[in-house]
Amino acid sequence: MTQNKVTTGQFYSLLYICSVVAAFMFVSTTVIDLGVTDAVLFPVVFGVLSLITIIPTFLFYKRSNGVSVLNAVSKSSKAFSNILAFSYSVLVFILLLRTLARLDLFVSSEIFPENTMTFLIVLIVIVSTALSLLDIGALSRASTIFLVLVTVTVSVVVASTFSNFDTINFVPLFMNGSEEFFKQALAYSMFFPESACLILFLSNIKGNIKKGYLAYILFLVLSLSTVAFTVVGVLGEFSNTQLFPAFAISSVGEFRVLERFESIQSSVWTVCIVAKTTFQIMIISNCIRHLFKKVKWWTPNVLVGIITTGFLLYISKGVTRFSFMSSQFQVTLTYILLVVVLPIIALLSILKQKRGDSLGNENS
Amino acid sequence: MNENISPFIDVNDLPDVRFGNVKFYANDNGKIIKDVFLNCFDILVKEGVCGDRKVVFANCDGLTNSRTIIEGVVKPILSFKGELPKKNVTKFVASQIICNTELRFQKSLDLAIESLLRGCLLVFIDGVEECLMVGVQNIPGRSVDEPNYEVQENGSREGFVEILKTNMTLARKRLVNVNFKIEVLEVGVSTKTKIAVCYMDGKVDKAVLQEVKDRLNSVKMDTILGETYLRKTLDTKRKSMFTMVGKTERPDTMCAKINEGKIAILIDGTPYALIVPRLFIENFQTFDDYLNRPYYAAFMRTIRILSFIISVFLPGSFVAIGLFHQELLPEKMLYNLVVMESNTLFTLTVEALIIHFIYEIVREAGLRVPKSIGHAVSIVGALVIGDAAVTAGLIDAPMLIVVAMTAITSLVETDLYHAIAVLRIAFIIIGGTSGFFGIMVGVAILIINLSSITDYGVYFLSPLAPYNKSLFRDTVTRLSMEKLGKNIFDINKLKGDSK
Repeated sequence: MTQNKVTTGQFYSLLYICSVVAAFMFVSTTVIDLGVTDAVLFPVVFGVLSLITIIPTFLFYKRSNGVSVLNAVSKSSKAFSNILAFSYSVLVFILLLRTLARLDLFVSSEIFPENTMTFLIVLIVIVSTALSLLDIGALSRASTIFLVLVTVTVSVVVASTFSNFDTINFVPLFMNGSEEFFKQALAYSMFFPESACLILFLSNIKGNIKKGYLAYILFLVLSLSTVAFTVVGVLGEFSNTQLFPAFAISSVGEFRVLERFESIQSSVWTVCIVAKTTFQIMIISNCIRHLFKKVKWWTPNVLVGIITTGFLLYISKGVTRFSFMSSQFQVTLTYILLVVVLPIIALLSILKQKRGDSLGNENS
Repeated sequence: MNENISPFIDVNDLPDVRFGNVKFYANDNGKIIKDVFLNCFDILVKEGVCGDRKVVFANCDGLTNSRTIIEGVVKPILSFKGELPKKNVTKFVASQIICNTELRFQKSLDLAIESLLRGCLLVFIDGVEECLMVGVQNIPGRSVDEPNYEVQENGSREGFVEILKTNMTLARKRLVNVNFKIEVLEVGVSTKTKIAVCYMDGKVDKAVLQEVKDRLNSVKMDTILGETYLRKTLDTKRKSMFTMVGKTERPDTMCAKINEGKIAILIDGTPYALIVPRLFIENFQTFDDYLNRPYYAAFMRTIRILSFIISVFLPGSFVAIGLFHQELLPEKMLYNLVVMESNTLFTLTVEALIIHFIYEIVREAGLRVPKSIGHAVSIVGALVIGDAAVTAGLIDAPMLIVVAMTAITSLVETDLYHAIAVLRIAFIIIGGTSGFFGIMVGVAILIINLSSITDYGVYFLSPLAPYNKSLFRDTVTRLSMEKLGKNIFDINKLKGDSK
């Protein structure tokens, strides 16, 4: 990873942007019932789960003295760090394709329903590839501005729909049983694997990463709950007929001369998508750079851009391919591998290395 | 003050030797100068006698003060009837005969000739292989005047002029401080332009100062005829429309920036000072802000920021709404727009582009033509293009209002005009092809690009991103002078954010 330093506030702003856009564009109503009151508590479960799943990363951070995962693991085993880099690049590449596929679906179905807008998505890939050549610092600093933009937009949308609130939509909690609630909440949480990126940028972050993470999770849970509360209050069961329910509420809201908000809201999500895809391309490129050290510094980014465009054009040709990118099995598997399995493996690797070092010291 | 910076040349300054040292006979030196400047009527070479020796005077007419030459140098030398000493003749002449404080001795004829071109009078004396250089320069230039572009409601009316020494004095009289330093360098192979690096010792970052000097010393250009020549050297961020090199034509602004730990560069021949590093937010600040009440300063800064946003995004957004996002508008407004639009020949995008290109042409013409014709250009622009274009159905009235609004707001930030003009056209095209969706992609690119700019150890978007609480007090808002006084803006406080 590049040695450009960012503050915890800047880095978590970037993670927040990447996460919050998923709530609006990725969470699929085909799996999760977002029209019931339970949906307001899904983010809370996600928050708790995030605090648990991050423990291996923090333990790794403590053991590695703040060195990022690939560099730390490569000290003990070069081959193993390469496997790790490959795994991360493949998994983040899946996330990247999911992001763009959902965006393609979103644009084609909500913004320009009469046209195929794949060329716009390809444009985003090109832009993101170019921006990924900049350092993580530039993206993180820009994210703090995007954060303000997103917060204002969400607040305006929520405020503008206030008059359409109907309390009748708030059915009693756990109406389908607590088991169903947790099942749905876990399924919902799987759409937010962004915290897995933290372990890749440990050496780039200055400041208290634990406090920052807590603040990030709290703010994210609050935002997601607010959005879920608005969706339930405004749309109720109707939200389950919508492909993008969190987006649908913006068409209900109005403010003075502005009659509808979906254009403005979708535009703001576009900014977040650009930031998210740039971040993902940056991660994949860095992993490739770790695997092939002798390549020119810009080659991995361009390569990722080209491959992504190819896959994207393939996906956009069939609806079943879109649905695969959002299938719960694929989403869950990616989440488990990225957020749970890989950090634990990295932690075990560094523990083994430390034990080897201490045994070596004792023998000498 | 109507004198240039010291015309004397040091030995180290001249890269190549053509004429060697000053010759033994004064006439030989005079002949060399005549040959070098053959047919140049402004170079005057005169002969005379001082005591028992021949003397030759050489000066550049127009760059020197004739009265000072005659009264202070020529007359005393020619009227000297005594005997010159055998040794230290030039020192004797300088101390006993001539009445002038700016005197130097020079053995190199090349350097002496260069000093001649800077307004020095050369005095060659028979039997002495050294010449006397007398500072009698009188460089023509305008007197201190009100700045043309940075016009202020309150405060000083003084602006920089083209004469470096005058500009240095304007700064020196405001910063009566032993720590205020001015270092003079020379750049440009042919022009040998003098530049002054001004800074406050103790406040400036030594590393940044050295970097600035290194960059200036590395200039290999043949001519330096304006501040923009040096901007390229000082600004290494070529991948952005924005620059971290600012400029001002006000001495008070320059002094305020120097007091914040920044470095100012004055260039001989230009009425501007370059200031590094310049932050993005400084484009929206004026010296007036510090002379007005804080609430009004904050209000005006907000207006300027909004003006920038409007001037870049309004035409593009209007086109995007008209073509892609009609649902945003109330029915009545939409109806009016459709009625007007149906009477025009082109699409909104083409209309916007045409009218903006016409506006830019009219602006450029207004800038270049003599002032007396400028009014005619304005009338043609306003009446013929504006009114007639609507009547002829080339563009509709709402578009004209949008363009007029954009044109006015873009003039609020003169320093950002170049970027605004190009970005505006880009956003019209983007808005016309992909609506708000594309515009926001452009916004993302713009913000990330701005975030990536860093030079001289600070970020361009500081203290907004990265956020610095203590320095944020004097950005969009401005606290009272009492509160700011305790925590004055210091560029070095931002350096911690960039490590």
